[in-house]
Amino acid sequence: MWTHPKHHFRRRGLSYPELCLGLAITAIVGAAIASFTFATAQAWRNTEAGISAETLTHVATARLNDIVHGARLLGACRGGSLDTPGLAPAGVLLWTRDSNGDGQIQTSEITLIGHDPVKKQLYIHTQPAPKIDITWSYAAFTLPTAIDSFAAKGNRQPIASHVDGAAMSVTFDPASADRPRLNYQLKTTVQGKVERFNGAVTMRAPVSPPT
Amino acid sequence: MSGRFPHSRLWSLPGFSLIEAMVACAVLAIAVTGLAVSLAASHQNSTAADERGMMLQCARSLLEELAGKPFKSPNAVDAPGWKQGQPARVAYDDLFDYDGYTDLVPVENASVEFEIGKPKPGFKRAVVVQMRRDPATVTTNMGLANFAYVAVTITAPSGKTFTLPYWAARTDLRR
Repeated sequence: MWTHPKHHFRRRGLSYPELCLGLAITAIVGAAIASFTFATAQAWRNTEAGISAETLTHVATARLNDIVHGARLLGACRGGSLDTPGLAPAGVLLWTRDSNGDGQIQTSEITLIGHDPVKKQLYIHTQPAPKIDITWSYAAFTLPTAIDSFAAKGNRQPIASHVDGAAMSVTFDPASADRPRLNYQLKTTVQGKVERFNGAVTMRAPVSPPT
Repeated sequence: MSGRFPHSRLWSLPGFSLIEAMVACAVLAIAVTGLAVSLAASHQNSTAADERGMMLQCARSLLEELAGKPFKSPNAVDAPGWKQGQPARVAYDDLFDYDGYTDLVPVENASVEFEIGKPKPGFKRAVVVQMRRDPATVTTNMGLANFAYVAVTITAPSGKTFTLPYWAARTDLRR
């Protein structure tokens, strides 16, 4: 019958140099693994942030395109700023539809696309039809102060978050036959990654201003 | 110390055999390769997604500009287009002036890789504007054209290509 040799259980432990060498190697390998893991995690986070920012701008672009493509007229536009938070935030009024078919701009037919620098959101703002819908003149519709007065009442629905800054401008030359275009710039910050996006959207079937 | 840890005894302890060392190395190599492959795939996906986003942005910005142009020149004398030798888009006064237009949008985003030392590449945009009598029938007679088929094709520095189509009609459809 086989038996354990006695000396098998009396093996010596690690010697001091062996222990030091083992610890040193373990520390080096551990440090390498830790730095590799950290770099991988960092790269992963950057990728995630980039994808999030890209998705965010794509969603915002799709919503803006949807609203502006179908709009009838562009009204007042306030520039806003990408990097100066103190400035009045960007916003543009649109006559989105002629619900009652009277050819006139009514409050319930207007949509405001604006930027809220406090909540860091791009939003659309509408006012539901009251019993008597107020008719706007084209001059009132294009007045810059109309943005704030319109935004004072009604419903606000965010279309993009993490938007630190937004700038808007309208390209429209009444002398040319070109359709009006809304140019916009968005600055988003997702998980510390800052992205800037420039876009433009052209109205597909604008109408002449009502008289 | 030398008496307690005799040099000859310390270094004469049995170590790993060649086979054991090779097996350990092989296992480590397989693990590292697997990890590296998945990381590389992730990086490639991220770069490709980044590039696709930029391609879409470049193509869309030109398409929106095209969509703003009238079907027919509003001027008494039609301004020359790309095929008539006018390279400046700002001078175009109708949609068909863009036919054949090409340009190169420089790569601003550093995440799109390019070889150092070579000229910085860009996204190549090419426009085709076809007159159509109806959506299926191509015509070369402006008087008969009721539709325009517009295609903005974009080619990335990596060679990837996609086309963004758009239809324009002679008469705006009103809601």
